[in-house]
Amino acid sequence: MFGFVIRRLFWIVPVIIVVAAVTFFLMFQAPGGPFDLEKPMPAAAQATLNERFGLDKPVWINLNELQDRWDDGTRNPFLLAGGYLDTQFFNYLRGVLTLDFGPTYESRGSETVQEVIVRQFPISLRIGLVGVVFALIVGLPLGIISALRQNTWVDYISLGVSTLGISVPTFVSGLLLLIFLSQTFGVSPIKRPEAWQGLFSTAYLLPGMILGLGTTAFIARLTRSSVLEVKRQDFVRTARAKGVGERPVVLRHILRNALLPVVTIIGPASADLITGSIIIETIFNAPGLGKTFVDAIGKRDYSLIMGVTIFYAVLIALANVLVDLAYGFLDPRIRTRR
Amino acid sequence: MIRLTGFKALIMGVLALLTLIGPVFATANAAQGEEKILRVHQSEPPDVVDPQKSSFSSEIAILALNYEGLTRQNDQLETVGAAAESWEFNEDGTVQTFHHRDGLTYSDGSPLTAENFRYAVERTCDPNTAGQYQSILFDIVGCEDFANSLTVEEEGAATPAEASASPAGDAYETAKANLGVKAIDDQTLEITLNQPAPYFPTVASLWVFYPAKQELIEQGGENWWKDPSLQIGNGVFQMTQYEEEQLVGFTANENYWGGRAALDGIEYVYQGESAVALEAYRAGDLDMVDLDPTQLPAVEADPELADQLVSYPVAATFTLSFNLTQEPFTDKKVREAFGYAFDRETYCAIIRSGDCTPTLSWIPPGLPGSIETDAYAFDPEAAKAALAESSYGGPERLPEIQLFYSSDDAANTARAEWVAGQYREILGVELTLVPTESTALVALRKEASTFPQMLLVGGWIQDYPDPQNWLSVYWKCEATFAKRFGYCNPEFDALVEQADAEQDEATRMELYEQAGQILVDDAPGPFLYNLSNKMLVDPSVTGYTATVLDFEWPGQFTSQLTIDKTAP
Repeated sequence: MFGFVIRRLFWIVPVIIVVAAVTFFLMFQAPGGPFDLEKPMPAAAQATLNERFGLDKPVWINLNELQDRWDDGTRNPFLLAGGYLDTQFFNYLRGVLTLDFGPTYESRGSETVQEVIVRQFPISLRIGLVGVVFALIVGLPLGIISALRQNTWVDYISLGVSTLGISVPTFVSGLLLLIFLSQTFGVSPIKRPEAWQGLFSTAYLLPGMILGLGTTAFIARLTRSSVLEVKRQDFVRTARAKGVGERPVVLRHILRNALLPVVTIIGPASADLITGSIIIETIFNAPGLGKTFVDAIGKRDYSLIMGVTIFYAVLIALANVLVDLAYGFLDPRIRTRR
Repeated sequence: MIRLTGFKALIMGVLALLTLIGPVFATANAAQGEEKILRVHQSEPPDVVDPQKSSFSSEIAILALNYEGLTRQNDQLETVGAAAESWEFNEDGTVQTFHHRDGLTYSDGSPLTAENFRYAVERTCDPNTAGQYQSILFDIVGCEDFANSLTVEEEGAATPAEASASPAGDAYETAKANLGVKAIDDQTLEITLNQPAPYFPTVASLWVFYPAKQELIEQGGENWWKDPSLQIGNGVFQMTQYEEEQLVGFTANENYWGGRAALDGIEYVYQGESAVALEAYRAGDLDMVDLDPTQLPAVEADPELADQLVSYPVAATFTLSFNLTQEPFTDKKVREAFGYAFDRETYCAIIRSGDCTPTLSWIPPGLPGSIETDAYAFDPEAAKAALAESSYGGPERLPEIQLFYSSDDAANTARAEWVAGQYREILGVELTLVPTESTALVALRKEASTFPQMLLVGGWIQDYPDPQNWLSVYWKCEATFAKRFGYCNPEFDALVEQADAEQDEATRMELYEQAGQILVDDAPGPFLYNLSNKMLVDPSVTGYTATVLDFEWPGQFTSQLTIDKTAP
């Protein structure tokens, strides 16, 4: 078990390197750079900034530096290789290993990427967690009830609500709800900055719930079909035939087996909600990481794009490891196969 | 049994959640007190709020409340004294001396001297600052040299840090010492210019002159500007709260030389989603809201809101841009045809929902140096005739024409399609639309070889109200902007160069007007419209005059002392 965890965690490293390389490649494919602004910058100022951010170096390999070091009489293969790899990409990877994601461009270097993440990620995390919790406490019962009372009005309502939840994008549902609450109760949709500071601030409830709507609907649908499938299995009929009461049949026999696929998607869905609150953050003006991330792409803020991508990649990889572990607890067959 | 319990639990859960939503909103209104705080909506949060580094109008809107330059503009757009009470040029117009007011202080009561302004100039020109507006001070002796003093020509260039320890570092120190700005005494600042620059007192009102304190900048390091206790200013207001991407708060500066503001404070509230901002305005939580053009029809249809709509022109001119080095726009007749065929009235009134006023010249009306003309006004017949007279003889033999536009704003697609439709109907020309992400577009626009053949939105947003900023900075052969799309007219250059150094104000303006006429005649790209700001302003807000300088909100520059708000 312990070995399994270690092995899985170890595999995150090559995944991250590949993610970093692909992102780096795509990023430099996009035309324009961080200092391509409407009003041009004096050439000297631009050169200074390029130097400060290491943008004057080659992207992947540095043949010039290798040549220079060779000409200087260096023959130590490690130093030579170091010169060869004195490039934007490898210098960046070296930074990542020491948890230094570099300065952001938009602040003109006055702030590091890790500072931005530490300040803004907790906001996204809280919104995402409210979404996950909401999706579970509403989606699960909704799915279970509609499966147990299949083809009744409860089922139809649940079906309608979930279809709505899946098909209406959050920027529509979020805006509509904000406008509705504001016009009906005359309360402002804009919060004071202090509202986002408390760990359990109520400010997170509404954006979290709207963010979780889609997942709620998805979980409800998935639970419903899964419960329906298990409900018709032989072992359920056997249990009923043996005279087991309705409650134990549902709780012990049906749910335990039906929830396995739901658990599978909770991991990715949670990661998705925690990293995916971009639109919600804009509508609710929450100072989270999602909005910053999207803005960074437009501004070609290379270090911020890289840093947040890698951070998100690690989060998603960890979420998947957790799901794999949860499987083992829920399904003994998987545990023994390892 | 169990089903019922589960269902009950669900209903209970939903009810519990609904009751939780209520208090979330109730808290928002509670923050208001008796104080007169003007709450202004801003769509775009700042990247950098540093006088010598900022460049966006939303950033300058913060700095301009907190600081004040040597001069400022009054509501007639005249340059008047601010921290400086008076100024004069020497005989040949190359040395300018500013005399400060007596007893100037910062908002915390500490003295404000000429040295603080000298530092602002030095910091702007310093290559380590690398601010975007550095070149605006290149009229000052040595500023350009200082800005370039770290660029080492030989290969294997050193980093700035290494450079300051090497001979190149001496170049830096020498250039710094040679900068043409001196604090003669506490109240006198002397600036030496490369050539006479009669517009320089106007430049001295700009944010690069804002005297942020050296010791506080150094104390705070790179992040100093985020800390209101380090942003001690000399403006009408003093920043007291800085919440990233959320809110910037100011209180009235009790020590301002011109007296205390009528307002107790101002708050900039950042909200990128304009529909949400409008709701907040309706709920009474914002006093001014910046509207998106797409919201205008709905707001104008609402009788209550329509009354509160404030509309005023700002100093920005937009054009269709042509790459003058590429066919077919090398042919002036083709450019004329495209100018005649553009229905500016309809474009502003319908397509842009009224957020602009049509124009046929470059400098907006009401600004010094602006001219009136009716050249190339909408005329479909003249358009066809011009195209027929061109070297192409008509639409059939024109090469493919690509119309580029920024795809970041969804509304641009409809605009580009309308423009293409007009040219199809009137000229029989088929344009190829090329939506492009805005940063990619900016990169393409860097030089003439990649500049789009035809660009939907070109133009200029004023830095300071002087024709020199509109004409010389943009259209001279050597100007970065003109070079990008290949405009160069030596006759124009000769006129503006003469005007830039002309010390007689009337003659100077006359020369600029002649140059402006040349520009119109050359038809470099159809001049289309001047932008208007459309804002909702709460009726309780009084005492402001909107000027063309107020890019962010009406009264932002010239009404700071008088703008007021009656109790709600």
